[in-house]
Amino acid sequence: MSSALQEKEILFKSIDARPDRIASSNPDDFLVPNGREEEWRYTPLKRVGNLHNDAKSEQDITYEVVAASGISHSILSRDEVKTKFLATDRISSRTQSLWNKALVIDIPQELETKDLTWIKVDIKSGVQYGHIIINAKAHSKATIILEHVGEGIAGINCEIIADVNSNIDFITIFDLARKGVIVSEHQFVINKDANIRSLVVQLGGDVVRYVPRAKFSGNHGAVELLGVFLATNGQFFENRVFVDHNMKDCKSNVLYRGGAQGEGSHTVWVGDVLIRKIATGTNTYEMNRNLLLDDGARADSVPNLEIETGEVEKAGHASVTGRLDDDQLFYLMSRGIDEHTARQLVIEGFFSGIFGEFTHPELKERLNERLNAAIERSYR
Amino acid sequence: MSELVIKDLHVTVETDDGIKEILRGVDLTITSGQTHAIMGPNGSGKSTLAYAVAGHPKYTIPSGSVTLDGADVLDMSVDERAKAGLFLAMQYPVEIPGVSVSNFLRSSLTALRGEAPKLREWIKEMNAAMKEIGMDQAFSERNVNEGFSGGEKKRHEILQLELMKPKIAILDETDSGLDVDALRIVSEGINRTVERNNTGVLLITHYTRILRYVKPDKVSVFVDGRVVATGGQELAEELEANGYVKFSKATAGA
Ligand SMILES: Nc1ncnc2c1ncn2[C@@H]1O[C@H](COP(=O)(O)OP(=O)(O)OP(=O)(O)O)[C@@H](O)[C@H]1O
Ligand SMILES: [Mg+2]
Repeated sequence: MSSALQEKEILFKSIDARPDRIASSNPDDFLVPNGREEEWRYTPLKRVGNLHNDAKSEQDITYEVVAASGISHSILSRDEVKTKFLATDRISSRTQSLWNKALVIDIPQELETKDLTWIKVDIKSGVQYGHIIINAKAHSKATIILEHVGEGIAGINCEIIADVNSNIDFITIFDLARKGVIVSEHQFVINKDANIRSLVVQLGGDVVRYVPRAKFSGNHGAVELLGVFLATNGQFFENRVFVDHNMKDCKSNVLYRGGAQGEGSHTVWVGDVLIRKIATGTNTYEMNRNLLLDDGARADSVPNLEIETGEVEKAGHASVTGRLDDDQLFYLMSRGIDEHTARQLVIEGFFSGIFGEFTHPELKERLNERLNAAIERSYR
Repeated sequence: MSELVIKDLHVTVETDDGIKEILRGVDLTITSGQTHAIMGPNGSGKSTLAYAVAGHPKYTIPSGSVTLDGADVLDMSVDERAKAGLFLAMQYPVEIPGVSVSNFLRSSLTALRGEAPKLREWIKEMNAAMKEIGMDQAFSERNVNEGFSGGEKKRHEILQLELMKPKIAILDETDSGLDVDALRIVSEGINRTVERNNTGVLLITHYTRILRYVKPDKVSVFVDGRVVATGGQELAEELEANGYVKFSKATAGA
């Protein structure tokens, strides 16, 4: 048996729910998608700069890091990095095989910090691939922000590994320029008693496809996958969430709120939660709420929950897509508030709760600024 | 001295089986400092009248006019109507998730007054008004109408009335769903507004009990999309005793 095949077998068991899916770092294990496959059916492949086919790396990606004290970071080449990352689709596996420089962030054991660690990735025009590893050692506590800006085309994957009893807040921001394209797979691995709270914010870019996948490496872990997205003026934002309950007594909470406005704007949310036979005592909830701001926009929302054990503590999923409510606007306007401000209040109100847990003042302010700028763009 | 004049107002809505006429020629005048009560059976079009005057997009106005001190109200956007001095207390106030009462009220007053009230004075003003209407200060941080009881929603409407000081206010069944104490407190709020700001009030109601606290200068009977009779408080007593039968017959023949 070749070693590549062995690797595939292991992952087949540990990362992916569906037996027909493979996980591999070799792009040749995946066919070039034509858009009719279930997992590619929504993605506008014509607009992804050939990331799915044969786009070559045109430059190294640049990472800028401002780290909280005690947290170290290094930029390493392929032969300096040890990774077990196995990609689960054609683009992420191409990314995995094509990156030249990876960013590795180490949060040492027992380090607890309230200070923020900012990673900024400026995607220059042209094609680039990247890989990021965030290693949170046992009993550590930190907040990491991964911010993507720029106007180029990128495939960037990320591993977030939370060791025993660590507490990681991880915020990913996709706020590219209007023509920017990014496709990212993030793999979260949560060890015993560890807790990851993640938030993704998609606001800028032409195409953003985000595939967060969480699994556990010990019992009693918890993961929160929150998301906010607002597509305007023809933008396409996709989220494919997968939570693999492969350990006992773990908790997951998936909450995404999205908005779409304008002709051709399209958002996609697919949420898969798998509770394996062994994962007794699981507590999981997933929810996607969408707000359509006009008739030209479209939101697809597909929640899936697969339960293989009879002993779950709680398992629920829901999806609601509604329109901007005339009655709400009327109520506000009948109090003298102009239409522009009324829409802004309703939209901000719709998104308001979701930043609530991330209380760091600078972070909150930056997130609100970016969201408000995106709401503002929806009027043009 | 202000005057809202409604003349031969016709209002239609679009339904699944075509266009339906709800208001069929309404004539009414509401004057500063005066309270004009409107009573009418369910479905007669009272709320439609209120919404149409306030400018809800659901309603179409094929003919008729509404003017406030000579200015064409129907030509104004919803927020312009409010800025011109019109206020509508809704029968079913709308919930707005994620928007706090204080943010909402401050946005509203900023729009109506043309500048943001100074923060400290604003908090004082809001707290005083909330106290008068018997709303706990905790409501200011809650989301607009979300999870409010029926009575709390109505108090919140009157709180807005008192803060916004309109020239003309239409109160759509503000008394419905209130217990006796709340009815008294809300009525006092309405009376204060009339006294302090010389507001003209169109009071839509089903019951005479509110008219014991808020004395109407006129009472009109509204049946089948129009005003069929107008008189004084004695008309209200008669309606409560005998219902609308007499008036319904009157329009059936017309
Ligand atoms: N959007 C609509 N589509 C169809 N019918 C409507 C619509 N809006 C109002 N109507 C109808 O118009 C009529 C008048 O409704 P309206 O709410 O104005 O009555 P009302 O006098 O306020 O009644 P109530 O005393 O019960 O509050 C009703 O028959 C109602 O069903
Ligand atoms: Mg009504």
